[in-house]
Amino acid sequence: MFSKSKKADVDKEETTDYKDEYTRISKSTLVQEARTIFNEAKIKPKKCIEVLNKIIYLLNQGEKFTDNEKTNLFFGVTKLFLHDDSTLRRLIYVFIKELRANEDEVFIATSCLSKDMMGENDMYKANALRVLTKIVDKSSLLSIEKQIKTSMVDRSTHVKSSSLVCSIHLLSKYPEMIKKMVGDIQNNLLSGNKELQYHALLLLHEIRKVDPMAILKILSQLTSSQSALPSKLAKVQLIRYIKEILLHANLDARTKGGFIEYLNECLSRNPEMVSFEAAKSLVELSEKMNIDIDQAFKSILDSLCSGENVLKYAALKVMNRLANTNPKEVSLASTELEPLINDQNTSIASMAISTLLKVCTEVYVQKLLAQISHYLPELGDDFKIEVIHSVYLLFLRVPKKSTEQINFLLKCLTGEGTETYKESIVETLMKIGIEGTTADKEQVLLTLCEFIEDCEFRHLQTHIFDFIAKECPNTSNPSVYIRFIYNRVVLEKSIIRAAAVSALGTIGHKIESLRSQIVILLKNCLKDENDEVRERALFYTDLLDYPEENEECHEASSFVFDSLTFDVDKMEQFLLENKDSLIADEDNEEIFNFSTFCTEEQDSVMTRNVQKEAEEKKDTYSTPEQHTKQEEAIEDDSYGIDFSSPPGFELEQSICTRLGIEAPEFSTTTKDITSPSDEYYVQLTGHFHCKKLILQFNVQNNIEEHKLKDITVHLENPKAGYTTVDQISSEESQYPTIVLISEDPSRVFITETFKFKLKFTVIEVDEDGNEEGDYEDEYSLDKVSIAVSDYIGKQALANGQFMNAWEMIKQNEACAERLETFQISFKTLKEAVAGVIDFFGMSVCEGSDKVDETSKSHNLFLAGTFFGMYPVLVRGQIGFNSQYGCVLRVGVRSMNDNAIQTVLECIQ
Amino acid sequence: MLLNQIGNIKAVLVLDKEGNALIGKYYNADGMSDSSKRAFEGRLHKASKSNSNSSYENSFFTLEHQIAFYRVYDDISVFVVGQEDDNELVISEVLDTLHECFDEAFTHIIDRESLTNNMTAVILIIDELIDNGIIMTLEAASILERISIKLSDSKGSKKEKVDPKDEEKPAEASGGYLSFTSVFSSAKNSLAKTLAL
Repeated sequence: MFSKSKKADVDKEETTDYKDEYTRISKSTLVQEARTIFNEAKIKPKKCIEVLNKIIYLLNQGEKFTDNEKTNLFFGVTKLFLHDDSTLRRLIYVFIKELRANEDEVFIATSCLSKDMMGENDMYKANALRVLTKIVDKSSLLSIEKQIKTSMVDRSTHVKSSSLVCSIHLLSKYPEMIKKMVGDIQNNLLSGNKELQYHALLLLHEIRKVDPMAILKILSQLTSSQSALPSKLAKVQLIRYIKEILLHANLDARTKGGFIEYLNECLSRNPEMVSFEAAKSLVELSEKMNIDIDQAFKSILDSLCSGENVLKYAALKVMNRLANTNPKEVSLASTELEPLINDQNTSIASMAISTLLKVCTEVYVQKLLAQISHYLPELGDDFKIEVIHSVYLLFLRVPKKSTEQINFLLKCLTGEGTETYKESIVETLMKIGIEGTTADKEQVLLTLCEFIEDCEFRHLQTHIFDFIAKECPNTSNPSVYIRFIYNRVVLEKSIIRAAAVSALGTIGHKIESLRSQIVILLKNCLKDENDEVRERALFYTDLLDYPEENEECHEASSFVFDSLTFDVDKMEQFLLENKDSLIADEDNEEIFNFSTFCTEEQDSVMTRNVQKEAEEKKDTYSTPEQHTKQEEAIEDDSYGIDFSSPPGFELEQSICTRLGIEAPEFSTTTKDITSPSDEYYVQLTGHFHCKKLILQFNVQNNIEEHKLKDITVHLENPKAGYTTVDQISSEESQYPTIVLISEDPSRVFITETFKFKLKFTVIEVDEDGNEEGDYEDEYSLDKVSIAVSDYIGKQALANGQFMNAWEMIKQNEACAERLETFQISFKTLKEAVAGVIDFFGMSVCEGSDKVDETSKSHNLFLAGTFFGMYPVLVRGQIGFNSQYGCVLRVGVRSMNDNAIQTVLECIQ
Repeated sequence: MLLNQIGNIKAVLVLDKEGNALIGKYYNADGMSDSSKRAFEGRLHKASKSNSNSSYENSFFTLEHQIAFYRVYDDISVFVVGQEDDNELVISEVLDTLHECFDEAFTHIIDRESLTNNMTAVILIIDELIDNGIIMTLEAASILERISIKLSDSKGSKKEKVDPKDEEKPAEASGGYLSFTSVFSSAKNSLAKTLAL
């Protein structure tokens, strides 16, 4: 489409130092220049354009202008409205949008913009409106409303289209104002003008989204005649809405059938994006309802063979998803899928491999693995890890072919690769070893033994030693592995030797028959030059080298190896409660029993781990980063973080089943909404499960003459973005419950203020307990906030440990970090520190809540867990200056970026 | 931001050879600090390197639940980033539109020099293409019209090979088809007019 000039070729040869007027612009010089040029008596548009270009460029780069500079620039620019150069005017519009001037200054531009709105120039009108809606405040609301209303019926498409887009943005802030215009919006939607339909549809849907019946009406109207929507964007959007309503609303068979038929019609004679969206929607719908997807499948298959990469990829993604629910159908497409493994585009190749691994039959496993291992070395790291993960899924599906799978992994292990890649292979092998048959286990162990012979990554080596020591007792001939481990003792660096000694010790304890041999090997290590190795060897020799019949020694070594996990909190509590009886009766061993404090499973993290794993198996779209993130988040217990969720009332199993979930992801502590002495004492516990907010109320009636029956919870202030999906009355559950769902996909964690009321039947009771009649009543509750702090748990760290944890979390690859600065309004440093601690609701570390009032700034260290599983660390610096007020600079680290974002939100 | 919206654009970026942003326009990204933006650009740049790229077709990859479509030119690359669950073809077409506009505004040479020489056009094209993450239009012609750059109506002319000598010749129309050079110079003139150069 375009040709290169000679000049471009010359540029290409130049090395990195590219220079033009946009490289290294000095902000202060530019501001200076702007002041001179904008203030000249006769405006020179060309010069002004040059300067504005550069200012917008800098703003775009994230360059920060001080308030003073902003004010200067802004006033300078408003003068330029006097000149009628259209390009200059357009740049002024962009500039005002980008600058985000101070609120009390921006109104100065409003009058100029309003003037442009009144004029004849469509281009000015359309764009001035876009600027106005971005700087609108309460005072100018009325005039904006008028302008939008007139623009919506303007003769120019450009102006109408602008007014629709502007209305979309205004809707979230001023819904009432936009709702008045529904009629005009509808006219634009049905106007047949393809430039307007997409935005009109977006707007109308957003206005009506809380009202399923109205949405249904719009959708039915638009599907009734194919010609109603010539705009392809609008059509794609319509199909997406249809899919959602089919998935989430209860429709009668006829309406459903009508929509499905419409989707099928869209498959042909439509632009690619439309037919693809229809095919994809049909496939997704087939997971939930019984529909015929032959045509859709055929359409996807055609796209798969398209010459266009984007279409191929999009189609593959659908195939990959279909492979989860309908592997048979997808395996019919094997011939189309196979060539895509070698596709130049890694996203396509990886998706093809992942799909094929999901559907391939037993016979084909070997061939497929051979093919993959041929191409694997050339590919990127993330992609390799994705493949390794798919191989594990393949093992779960076709365990019969485990030998081939393990061999494939061995080949990967010996090939080139980074540490994370190798780690993923080793971990997959271990999983196969644990879950597979004894033969699998032995093959895995031997593979790993061979790998440690020339493994360059220390922590992997020690990890493998540990695994071998744990698993080899369950094999037919454990002595084989001892040789491999002992070889390391002879050849490796001290850190590995120490790990090897520990592994030998463990094996020696577990396998009696080998104990004497191992003791001999351990004794050889007593002369090691390294202190650590020597001490470990001595320790284990002492533990293991005892006559068989000596019970006491045996007990001692069991104690060391089958290490008990104590719940220290439980023990402390127990000791406090039984202090007196323990002191009184020193010999009473029965009261104090260690086993009461042992946690049954290693801890709750392990169980969570297993659940996660199961979810991952289902979750096919997750990227490799995500897996590592999750896995690493789980490994974090290394800094002793307790994951137990805070107490609240548990969600009953019957409710879980009713909502179709296994267990809530997270539950908050119980909080009081009314006081215990009120007529009704109401407490609330929130449970979260993927966009669902399940609120359970515990209602205690304090009026003796009343009995309450059939209590239900109602939302008094329906909020945009939340829909009540279920209500459970006190007759069905101990706690009356309301279930809300958040419709805003960008918000992972719900924070909102709700107002509820209880409805119930009051039964009057006389003194003897006889019922005297009943009536309906309501009881409004105070507002309840679901705040960020509800998601945060305290996590105390030992003194001196904070910086350690701070650095450790950083070393983790998945670790995300954000630095932000906030202006906070507190009167003294002390108040500010207390306030910030309160914001976050986390544990204070290193005693950093003590404030030295004389110093200008204060460092604060906080630790907590987010959503019960992600550790979050916060370092805050609070600066205080009586003139400028209080500034908080805060750095947050966590494995979960969403956690950070949400945590930071609590400051606003 | 809107419920179940199609065509929700998260960012439009132009990166140089080293992965520095020449244009970094993010939409609805208030929670994103400048440093995380720079880091994101770095990851985009790195990921785009691992694909084999051509400036004739859109390439893409997924990154952090987003999908990035991009084209690599001589010394710059242009990215359009959307949500992973969006309609891929829609996001890809946004990039097509952007390419078409740049191609026209830069008189068919898309590189860093053209970009900086036509900064006004670049700023305005992006402004007319996306508003707060919402696609304004996918028609390159409407965008160019709205910023007063005309799309040449004879597509055949662009395919003609360029003889460097032609550039010295005065523009001439032949047989209803404009030669490349005439398009070149007329576009330049009309551009010059709009920029009041």
